[in-house]
Amino acid sequence: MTSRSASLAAASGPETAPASAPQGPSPAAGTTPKPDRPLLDTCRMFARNCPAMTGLVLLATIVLATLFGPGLYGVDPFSMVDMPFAPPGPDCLLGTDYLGRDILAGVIVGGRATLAVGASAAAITVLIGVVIGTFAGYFGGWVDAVLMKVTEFFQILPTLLFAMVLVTIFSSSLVTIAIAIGAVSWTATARLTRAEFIRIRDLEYVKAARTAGARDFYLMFRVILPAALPPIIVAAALAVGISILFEAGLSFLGLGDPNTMSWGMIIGQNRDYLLNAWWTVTFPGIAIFLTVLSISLIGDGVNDALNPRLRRR
Amino acid sequence: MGDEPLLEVRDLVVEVDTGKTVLPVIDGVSFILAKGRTLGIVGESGCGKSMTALAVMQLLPPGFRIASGEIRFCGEDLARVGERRLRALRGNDMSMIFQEPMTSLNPVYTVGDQIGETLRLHQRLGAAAARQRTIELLRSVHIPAAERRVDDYPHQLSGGMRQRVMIAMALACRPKLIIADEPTTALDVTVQAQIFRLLEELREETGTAIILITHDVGAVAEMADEVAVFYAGKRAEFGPVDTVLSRAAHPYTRGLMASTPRLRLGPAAAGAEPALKEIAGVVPPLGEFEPGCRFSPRCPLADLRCRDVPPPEETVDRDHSALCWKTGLELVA
Repeated sequence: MTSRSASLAAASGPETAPASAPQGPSPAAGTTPKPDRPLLDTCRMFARNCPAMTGLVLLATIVLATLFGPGLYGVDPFSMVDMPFAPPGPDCLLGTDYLGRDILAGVIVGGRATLAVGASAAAITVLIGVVIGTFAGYFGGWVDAVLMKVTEFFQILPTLLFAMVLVTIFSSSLVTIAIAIGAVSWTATARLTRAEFIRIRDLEYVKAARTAGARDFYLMFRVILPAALPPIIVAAALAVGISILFEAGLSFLGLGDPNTMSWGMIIGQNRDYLLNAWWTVTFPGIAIFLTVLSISLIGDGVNDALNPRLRRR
Repeated sequence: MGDEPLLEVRDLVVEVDTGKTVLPVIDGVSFILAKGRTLGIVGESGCGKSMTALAVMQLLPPGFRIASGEIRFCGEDLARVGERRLRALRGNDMSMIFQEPMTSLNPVYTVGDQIGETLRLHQRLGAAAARQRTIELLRSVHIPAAERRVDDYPHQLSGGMRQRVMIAMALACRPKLIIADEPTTALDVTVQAQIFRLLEELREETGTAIILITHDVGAVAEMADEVAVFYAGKRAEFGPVDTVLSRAAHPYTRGLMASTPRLRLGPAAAGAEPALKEIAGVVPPLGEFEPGCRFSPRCPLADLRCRDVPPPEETVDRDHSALCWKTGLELVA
């Protein structure tokens, strides 16, 4: 046996040599183990992505403006400060609405409610969607059949109408609106997650993990879900945008929380005067547009950064 | 022999439910594997080799089930121990190496994370200890610069390196049994030899038993102690590798060996066959077997009895048996 062992050592030589060659010039060369920092890699990858960084800066500006703007600007968005329909000018930078309220103050304060509803509704959407999709896609069989029938039931409901019904029944507060939006829009995420799970669950590395003794929950949430995550993250980012639009739509139809200023509410209350006073709806509209755009850009950037194939050493 | 059996498979029958009918994929297969030995399982694609492996791991795909028979691992009947115990066994006492190193590693974790996870799961090692052990394991499978490679993602490694990582992962908890399901099919020929040597070396070091599933009769000759030849869900021939390969009793085994290419150079080239022999025909589809010997439609020795009456288990030598009516006859055609 000893002679065989000796030939083994020699035989493993050919692969050893070329494999170690490109390692030579690496600056990290040394015997100290390099710490494992996947998060840092992801951040670095994201920072190199120009559109994503633009989106991040834009969103950060919007968030900071809604957080600190009211303190700096100091105009109550609900009080009459000028003539109704005063055009943009030195007194009111973005003009006034049909009650003579300052649009700029409305946009700054309204952003809080809009962003809060958008983010929480998207969180609810993704949470419900991912959990349902995970169980349906992983277990298959009757679990899948039942969960997908439920999903289909929610899919055939007209979403806006269903959300309106929910908001009407449970009084319109920000919490109700967020839950209503989440409750009607999770189906796409559930289907996406399920499709990813079905694709990934039969891959060899999932089998390999199972042969290594992994249990169902581990396989679902530590093995398959991370691999399914990139499209889900993009869907989540889009869900924030869609939720903001949805909230605006509900407010536009007069179903928003009347006690809370939001971008949708400004647009909704001024919709009749759109042709006479364009500024009343245009500025909150631009705010919605920029927010949704920045979120999509960030979503794309995160997707790219999370893909280990695009990651460099 | 003499050692107590590590794995004992007796009269294993695995069926698949196609929705319309229930067909046997594995039909009464038996074998015994002692501690630290290597069993080679050879046969064409679709003969139930991989299904046997998955049945031993109790990880048959949906629709497949063990209809009868017994699988004993260290004395435990695996069909009865329950999912909890099985999870504790898998990865810890028995592990598996797959055919495709390209897809058997999770692309979103570093190789170190993946090996470390098995150690943390089964051996309850802390993160630092698991990392240290992982680096040692990578060294033991001859991965150069293991302390840096441990932080690589699978796509940064070559095919041979990935299969080494898979082997390191399978070895992580020093299992008593490793099932290698065609571990080199997806690799370059030069790398194949290295992987086989690595397995052999590790077996000598750790004393683990190996089931080697392969098409490669040469690899079996080099590595295995016993060999089981599978044909159409049946064990056609079984015995010590030396006697089976030198005095093959089943026409299928002889056909397999005759169809293995051999390089002959110099004076030997003159005596070489001009063309590689092949076994005529293909493995029949499931459920379309002859009532008698399943190999009879392709067998050069087959007669009417072969077609109509299932062949007996013929003992050729002490531990060497074949499922054939014509074990004594020389292959003529």
